[in-house]
Amino acid sequence: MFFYQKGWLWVSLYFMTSLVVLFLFDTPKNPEIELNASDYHYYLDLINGPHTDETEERLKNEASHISDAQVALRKVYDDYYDGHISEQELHDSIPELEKVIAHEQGFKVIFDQYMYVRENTDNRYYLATNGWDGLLSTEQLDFGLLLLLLLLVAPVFCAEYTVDMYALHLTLRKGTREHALVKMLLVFVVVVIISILSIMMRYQFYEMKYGLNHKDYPLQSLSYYGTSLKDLSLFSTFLWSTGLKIVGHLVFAMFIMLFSIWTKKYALTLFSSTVIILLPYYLFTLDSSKYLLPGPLGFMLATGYFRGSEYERNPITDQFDLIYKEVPVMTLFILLFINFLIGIIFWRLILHHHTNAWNTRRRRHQLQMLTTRLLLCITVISLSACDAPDKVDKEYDVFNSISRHSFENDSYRFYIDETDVENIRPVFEDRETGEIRNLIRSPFSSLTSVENFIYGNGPFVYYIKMDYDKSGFYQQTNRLSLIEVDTTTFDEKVIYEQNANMARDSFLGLHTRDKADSAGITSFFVDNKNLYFVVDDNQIRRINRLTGKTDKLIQASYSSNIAYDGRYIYYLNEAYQINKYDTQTEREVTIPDIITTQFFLTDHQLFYINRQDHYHIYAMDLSNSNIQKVVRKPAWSIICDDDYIYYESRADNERYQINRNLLIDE
Amino acid sequence: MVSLLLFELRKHFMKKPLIIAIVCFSLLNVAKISSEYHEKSLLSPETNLKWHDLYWGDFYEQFSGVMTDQKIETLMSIYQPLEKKTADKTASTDSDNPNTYTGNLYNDHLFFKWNFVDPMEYSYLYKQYANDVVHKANENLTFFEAMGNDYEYEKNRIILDRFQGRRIDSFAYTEMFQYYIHYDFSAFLVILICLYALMSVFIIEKETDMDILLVTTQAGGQATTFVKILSTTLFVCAVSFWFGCIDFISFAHFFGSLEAISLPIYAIENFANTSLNLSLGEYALLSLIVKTIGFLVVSYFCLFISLFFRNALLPFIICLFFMLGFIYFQEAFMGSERIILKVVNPFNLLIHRELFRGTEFVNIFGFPVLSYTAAIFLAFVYGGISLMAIFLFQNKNTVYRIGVSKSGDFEI
Repeated sequence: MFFYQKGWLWVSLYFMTSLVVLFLFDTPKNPEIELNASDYHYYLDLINGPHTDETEERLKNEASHISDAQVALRKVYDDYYDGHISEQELHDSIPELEKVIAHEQGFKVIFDQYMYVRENTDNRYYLATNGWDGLLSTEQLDFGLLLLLLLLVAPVFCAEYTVDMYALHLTLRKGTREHALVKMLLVFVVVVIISILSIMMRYQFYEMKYGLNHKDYPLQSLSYYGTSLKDLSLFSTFLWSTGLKIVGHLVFAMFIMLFSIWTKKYALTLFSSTVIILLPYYLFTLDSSKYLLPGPLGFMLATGYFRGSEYERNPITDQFDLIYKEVPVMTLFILLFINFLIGIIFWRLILHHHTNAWNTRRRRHQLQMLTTRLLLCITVISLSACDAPDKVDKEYDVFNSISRHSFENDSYRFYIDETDVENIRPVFEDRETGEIRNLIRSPFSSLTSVENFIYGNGPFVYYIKMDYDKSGFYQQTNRLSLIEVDTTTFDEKVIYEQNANMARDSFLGLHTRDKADSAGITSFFVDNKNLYFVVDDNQIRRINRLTGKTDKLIQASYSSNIAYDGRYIYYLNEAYQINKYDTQTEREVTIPDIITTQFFLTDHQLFYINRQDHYHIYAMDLSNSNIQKVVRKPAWSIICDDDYIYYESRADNERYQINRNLLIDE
Repeated sequence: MVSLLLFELRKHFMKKPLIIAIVCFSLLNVAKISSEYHEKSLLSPETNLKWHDLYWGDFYEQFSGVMTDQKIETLMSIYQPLEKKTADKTASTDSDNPNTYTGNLYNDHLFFKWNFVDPMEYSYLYKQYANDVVHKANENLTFFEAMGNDYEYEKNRIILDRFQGRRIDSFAYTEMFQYYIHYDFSAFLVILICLYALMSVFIIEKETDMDILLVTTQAGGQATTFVKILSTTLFVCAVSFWFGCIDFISFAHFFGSLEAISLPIYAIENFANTSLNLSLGEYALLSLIVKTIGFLVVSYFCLFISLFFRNALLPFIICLFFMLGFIYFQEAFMGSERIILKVVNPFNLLIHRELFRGTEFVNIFGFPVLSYTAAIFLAFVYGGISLMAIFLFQNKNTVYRIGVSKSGDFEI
């Protein structure tokens, strides 16, 4: 099994591939926990475990404290900048307030968990769920293990039939039952060891990546099992599922061996074995149906036996449809018993039909095989190369999130045309002729929509498009695409895509929805390595263009402007100061001497509303950090272009424009 | 040659297990289509007990056919009062209201909205949408000509040609075609059958060491290879057409209607942007042909892989592995704007609605080529390469090289 059939090679290949797949493709079920890990764990450490009155009180108090602290912090700074309190008083008050709001993002995640736990406080505990979710909250069949078992078990008997050693073996002294017994026992031992190693590998991976703490917490602490009626802890569920998986793999091995001695053909054995797994796996619309079938599939998946019944509202009938039916414990034991019986019957049948074997199978045409493998590898490599991102190498225009609705380059002015509320769309104006046209040149408007913000850099303009699918009764969001338009030719290129469809009719459902969250994007900018999505105007998420890996880069305190000049990201911190984040070194500094409520970055100057001087507009020269007052009027907000500064006056809430060449110089 | 072909067909494809598998899979397929109807159709008894009879008995005949002002006015005279009554959600929720069609006012509203008003509105407005597309494409012609962008110019010219004069004049029951077009399960069954059936085509002689003997015979060598490929082609086409027919007949039977067969394909909302100007009936035929091409490409690939092995174990596993891989990538790029990644995957011919539902192009040396044309062309290239590779590697059989005369091999 391991040497003549090269079993060791396939086993090693399986474990290496599984490990690589886990490392490369595993994504947390709740990405917010990982994005805000330290803040989340700060609160989790406080309320870990069962929900109590004390927990409830603490969460409510914390929510109120955070909200109060945010207001108080703003007031303290306002008072200081207005001259009502001294610097010493400011420094005395701030640390305490900052301490309260330091972990605000983590609190939001824990509060979502609280909303889930409070629905049933008896068996839902607080814990970091991503590890256990990765390990237990999945019903994906391990296709690698399926192929490995086929590869290892099918030749155990088939190898003898293909070389016609069957008749010869019948003549040997130990060539009948005894040898069959040894073969089956060997298969059992190998299957059990591979199953345990495979499960242990996953356990170790999730233990290392997310942690698998609080093994004794109830299963229902994971939302996937939220409605389960089974009284089990997380670890006992893991042990049970491990046991069931081993039973499933053993029964599957028995099926393969029975098909082998029955059909005496590789092709039919492999076909029958594949069909008994894959057909029920894809046949049923109700997920729980496959767990009610006797046979290996349900046990190979195992986790579904612990899920509870789930219902979904059907808008057509206005009733709740069953989408998952819990498998009762008694049914599970009956199925176990049936599988045990199947095992016994198969055992007897195999012994009855057995022939001994003398594996003389030799590999021939190794050169041809090598050539084939080489060809296949080249195909895979060439296919994977198709996904390589395009390199961008260009100078950067300054981006300000506050002016996300417009962008200008040498030839055109791009902006969002909101004159027709039914048809808000990005357009561009030819700076020479004044002609206005749609930026989106595609004639098709059905099943697609465009977000109302753009980003521009030199000749390139970017926009976000949502595509929809209506394969069923309802229209579903299908995909988010970030499109680059080369405005010299108006050629379009997709630079990022996110599969956002949860309910699309796919072929087999092997590739599910991307877990990256596309909700709440208010603006974005890009460079040659990353995309930066500004979420809710105050959070920046960075997405690697090559790997798609997402991380939270910056959490700004205020929903103010966020600027980017191709290297540095500028944003406002809680003390009304401007922080400057270097995307290359990943270091951050605070720009001294600027206290502002809003700013605007241009190529050479940083315009800002001076909080310490009656909200008048100032400008800082970026080359020498010289500061000068440029408008002696209080303003709410400012936006600039090459010629003008536009500001909204605090005096009359009207919008004004001032020629930049006629600015005062103080 | 014909007798050799019949012999190969009988040897590889007239096997009891294979026929049993085809029969069982056919029955499973029918059962699956039945469940599709019961779970998804608005008119199935599971969705609503009264809608089926109400739709076919009382209203369909009245509103189907060419959409006239009179029909629309009649429909609106029923629908608008219902819409007004249910707008503020304060109407009675009684389920035995005698002044309603279904017993419930809200149910009446949804019945007319989903079965008549929405589909008729879409059909009625499609002409305007198509005109809009033509208008924008026309604008683009001028724009891209001025920009000197020949590729985009050509793209818009094709769009303009395809969308000119589009309209949906009639209303018919399209639910059957809606779900028929989006049904994939039978393709999975055909793949499994092909995977099993094709494993023996080249391997059966190797398992019994007859391949050595075979090349010494008059009809051995390339002639046998040719007949094996031909018999495979015939078998795959037959299985594909068999399941295609089962799909079509079962959908027509369970949904109880072929009324929309003459409507244009863009009468299905998901195909509003399609580049095809075919009727739904013609599309069903095209779909079957394209699927069959896809199955053939996959089959030739499996045959090629099986050439290098003396039993079915590794080729079966390798082919299954590749199929799962191709399906994964097909699903990963479903709906993607990266058209080339869809086009290069031969499995997109099996789930070909991705190629037909939109008007998408790939840039081939600066010329815009419709995605389905490129995908079918590439499928022929893949198939051709696989066939050539089969002949190439088959010729390098060890026995062949040690002295059997070539002329003898080619005589049949």
